[in-house]
Amino acid sequence: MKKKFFLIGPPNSGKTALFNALTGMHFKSTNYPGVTVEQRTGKLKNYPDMELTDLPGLYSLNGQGIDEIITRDHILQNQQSKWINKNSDISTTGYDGIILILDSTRLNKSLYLALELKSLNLPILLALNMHDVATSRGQLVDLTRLAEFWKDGIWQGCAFRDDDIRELEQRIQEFNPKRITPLPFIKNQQDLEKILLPLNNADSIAEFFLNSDKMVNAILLKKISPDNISQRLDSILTHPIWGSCVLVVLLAIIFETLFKLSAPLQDGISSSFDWLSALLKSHYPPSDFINFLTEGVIAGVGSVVVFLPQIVLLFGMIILLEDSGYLSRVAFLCDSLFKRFGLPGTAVIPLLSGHACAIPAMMSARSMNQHSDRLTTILITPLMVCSARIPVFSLLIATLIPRDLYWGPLSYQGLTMLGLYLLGLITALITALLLKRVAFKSSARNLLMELPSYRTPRLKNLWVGLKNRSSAFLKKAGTIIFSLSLVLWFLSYYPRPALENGSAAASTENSYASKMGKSLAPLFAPLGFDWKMTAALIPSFAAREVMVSALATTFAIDDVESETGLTGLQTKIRETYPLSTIWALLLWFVFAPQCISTFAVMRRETNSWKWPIIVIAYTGGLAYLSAWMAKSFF
Amino acid sequence: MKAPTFQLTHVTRACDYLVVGISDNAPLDLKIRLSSHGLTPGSVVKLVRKGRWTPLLIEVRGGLLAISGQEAEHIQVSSPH
Repeated sequence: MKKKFFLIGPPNSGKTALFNALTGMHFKSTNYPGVTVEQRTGKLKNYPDMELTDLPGLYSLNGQGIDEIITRDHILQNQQSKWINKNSDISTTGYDGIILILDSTRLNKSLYLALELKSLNLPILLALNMHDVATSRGQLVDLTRLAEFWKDGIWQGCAFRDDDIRELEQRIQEFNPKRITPLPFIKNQQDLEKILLPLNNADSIAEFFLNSDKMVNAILLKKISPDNISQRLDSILTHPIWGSCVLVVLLAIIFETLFKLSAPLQDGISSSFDWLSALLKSHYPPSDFINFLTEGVIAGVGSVVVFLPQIVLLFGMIILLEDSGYLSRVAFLCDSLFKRFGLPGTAVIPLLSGHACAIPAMMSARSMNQHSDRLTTILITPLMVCSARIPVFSLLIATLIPRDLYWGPLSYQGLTMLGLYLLGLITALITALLLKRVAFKSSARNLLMELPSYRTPRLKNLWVGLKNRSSAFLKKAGTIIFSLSLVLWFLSYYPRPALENGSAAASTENSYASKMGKSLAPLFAPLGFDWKMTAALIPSFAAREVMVSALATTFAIDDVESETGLTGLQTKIRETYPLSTIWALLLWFVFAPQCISTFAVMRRETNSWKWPIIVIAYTGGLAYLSAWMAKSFF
Repeated sequence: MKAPTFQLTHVTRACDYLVVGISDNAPLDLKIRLSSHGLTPGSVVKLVRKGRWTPLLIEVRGGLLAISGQEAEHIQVSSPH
């Protein structure tokens, strides 16, 4: 029979890093609490008959956050829980044991959870992770003594060392407790309270800490020395003035780098697509099929893929900041500002994650304790500029602002991009304030958050993060964007009425796309959008990037002889539209409703269609209003 | 003699070691949340940052904890003997 184990531990103890190392999977693992918000299951790489479930972090069984409740309900096999999938094996057949991951550098804190779980007589293999960091700070644990306290099994090591992982696999193999079936556990609320009440009274809490201190004193041969580097860094980075200055400089560097470093790479990719297109045109006579390849596939998909370097650079820098432990300091610094808008500082983490994609960002709000804080964060996350908008922003900014225009050391292109991100954030905060004051009538819950120690970002995390993000982007380009580009090419190319000389008209003016765009034109006419822009807006609700490929395709069909590639597209847009219309399109995309999958996840997270509908209405309204203002006043 | 107690938010100087007490009228869920972070009556903390524009930063059980508003107001501290 397959053995099933739960991987649990306090937040930021390295559970996901261990889970990835044991199963060969590549989930996000970084340096701030609350990264894992849902359960994931995988098989041990070298022992496929053993199954591991990585659960969100928890400080105690009495935790109030949804992430903590998910883990508690799994441990206690709560049959009433809405967080356990009733069709999963775990809910019907139980599990074999718990692998409890503790941060070796924080034993005096994390042993509390170990003792709390032990009081329920659960079989627990104790895994002391981050042994390398603890050793480098002088800590020495007497494992023989610890084994006297902990008879189920102990492992000490580091998630990033292969030898240590092999040893942990061995320990899991040897760990052979009797299966915990769901039946003796929770069937109703009274059963749950019967277990939790004895754990959360003042006396039991004091006793757990007292026993944890006794245990630490008994097992530590040498105590850990203070983390002097983190203390020195925090004296600057958490300082209200110096810390804020560092944050502003870091943001400026990120957006400056985004344009400066990616430009040569983008030019290289763009030239490759141009070369391929020219090669096809020079070797084959003009035909519908060649037009399909050059203006549909290459111009459409190529115009989006060219933004890969910018996306990789942005994510690379975000991963480095997350992995260093700096992100929690940003939340700390922003707390006072966010509180004025009715949000706690912890909302910074989901909102910043929203710059990658709104879906995991909304899910990461599960770690917020107060319902109205969580709901508000979910509802404003679509206003954060997600990575799908980068191609649209980059194209339009480069069209509007020359590359060599500088304000001191900063380019106007980088500053404009930063401005658009800030515009999204400021609007999100104002919306949060309105929601909290008008809809929820509640103030922000105050901050109570652990700050992790700083550490050198791990190359493996950077590599895995970039690989995941790049492959997701290329997969999207090769599937959704490719399919939509083909549809758009077809709609823009056909029908082709015959001219007097017998050849087909080389214009999109009579195409299906033109008819479709023109039928909606009255709605978007006040914004200055022509039928090409209007027709491209519809598929961009499936993927933002399609706006770029749609414009590239329609311009390429209309003028096959013109300059192709990114520069050619920018020239065409500049020649076709007034500046006010380009600004209007840019602002439309700052606020426009996110893709369909975002709203499906929002429905799941809020358990109602009411909120996604409200968000679609207000983001759509904001997009229209801001685009109209840009058209009217620029 | 019992040591004088202050609200954590009223302590003026950082880098002091302080003994924690939780106010009696603190809500139960707050008591649970504080205790899960190691803040229980009698535990010793170090005040790392005390600022007007940022939350309080305290060192508790070897880790840094950021805390603000009502959460901090329910923590009473006294100097250790």
